[in-house]
Amino acid sequence: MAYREYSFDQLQLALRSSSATQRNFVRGLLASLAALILGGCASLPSIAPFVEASSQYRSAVVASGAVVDAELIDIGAKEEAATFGKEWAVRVRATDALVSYSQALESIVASGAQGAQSARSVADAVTGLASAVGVALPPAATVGTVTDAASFVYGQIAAVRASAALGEALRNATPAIDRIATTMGLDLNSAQDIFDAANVQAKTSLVKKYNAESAYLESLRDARLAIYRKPVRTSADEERLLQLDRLEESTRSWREPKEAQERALAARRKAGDQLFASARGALTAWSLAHRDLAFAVESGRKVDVTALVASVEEMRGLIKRIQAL
Amino acid sequence: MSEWDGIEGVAGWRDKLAQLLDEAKRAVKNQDRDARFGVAERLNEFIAMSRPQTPEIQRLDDLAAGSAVALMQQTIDEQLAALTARSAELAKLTKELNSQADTAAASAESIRLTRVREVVSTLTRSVEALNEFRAALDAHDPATLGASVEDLLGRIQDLRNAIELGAAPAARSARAVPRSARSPRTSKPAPRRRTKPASR
Repeated sequence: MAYREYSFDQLQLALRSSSATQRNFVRGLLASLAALILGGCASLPSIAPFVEASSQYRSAVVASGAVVDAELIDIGAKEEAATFGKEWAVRVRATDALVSYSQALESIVASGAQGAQSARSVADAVTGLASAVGVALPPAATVGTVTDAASFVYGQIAAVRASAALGEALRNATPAIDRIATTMGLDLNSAQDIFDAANVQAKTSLVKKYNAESAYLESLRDARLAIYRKPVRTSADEERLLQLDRLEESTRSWREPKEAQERALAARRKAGDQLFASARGALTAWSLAHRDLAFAVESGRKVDVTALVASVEEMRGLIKRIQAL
Repeated sequence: MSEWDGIEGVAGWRDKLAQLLDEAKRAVKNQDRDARFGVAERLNEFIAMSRPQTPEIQRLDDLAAGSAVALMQQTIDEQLAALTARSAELAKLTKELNSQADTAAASAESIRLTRVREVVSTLTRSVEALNEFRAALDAHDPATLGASVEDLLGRIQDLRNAIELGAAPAARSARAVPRSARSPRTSKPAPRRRTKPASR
């Protein structure tokens, strides 16, 4: 790349001038200087999917805590529910930190993209100061040209500063992020075990509640099976089978509510287990995306957020399902 | 064919329960999560399948229910203890990450030249206060002069805060609020007037 050389006189002339041509001259000169000094400008990856995934992961952790709490309350384990709530709040705070951290990364990227605007704001503030002090400023057009040129150059500088700041932030946070991901993976396992155990206890209560009725129903089925096993059925056997049908039909009054409760328990268990599995998957996708992001900033390549976006969608759907139960 | 087929009489059900309880003990001893849940589910099935409902069978059912509940309660207690044991480390990591987030946010502010803009704006306000002070000196009005001195001191303090890294944002933001909008509690006892004296 060839750089033109400009004389001081040319530069002064440009600063005094208000024409668009001269403005472009100064901009061109300063852009060339910026490119020479900064060695090209870094393009920053989009952090938006990462921020969205952090926020969604937080929702999944909150929803996971709520399903465990509801299951413990359902079996009357209030003390355990209180202990779990206290401990889970620590996990929710950890996800708050993940959200704050990802928002801060996004803020760095945004600051890199808004460099020219920031420089213009400072220029406005300096103009205000000069006016307050009573300094006679050059003509407005000249000030505008200098401001434009300086904003343009700072735009490039801001992008490079943002790239460096982003890289540093990602590098510094990686050890903590990795440890949080490992710990929270174990925590989700623990929460799921508590949830499943409470669900099994609820099932035990249900089975005990209908124990006598269930035994009666099984005895009717035993009697039917005994008749079916006979090589030759008599008319008395046929009569007995009809009677067994009627008796079994009469169990519908308690059997249907029992089966409905069993289905509800099974549906809760299935949805809860899927939520925990999804949250674990999302956590893994999140920490891998974080590593990928760090590598992308170092190497200047794009970040693949497909897995992260997919995990966000899955969690969103599961949380809705849990809330509907 | 299910595992419940062919079991007959109290003795048959007692033997089956003994087998399940043995498996439960092994699952607890081996810390085998899947085996624990598996046995608990089978104990539930035992309760539903055991028959007829004689007092002996009911006693076996009670034993099966108690064992299933105890197995699951132990799982709940162990996992709650595991969560508690990891909380301190997680809280420490959270603090560390919050600190990293603060640093990153500060970097973004620095790139946005926020502090430079703040300092210049505060400096501008200080200069304005200085101009008012000069005008008050010219007016020879002790009341106006006193208010102006106070205002000037406040502005200089603002400037100092803005320049120092440990600036108190609350103090700066309070000054950014129009004076008329401030509550009596936040107003100074002697109001600082920013209007120029009537006579010069």
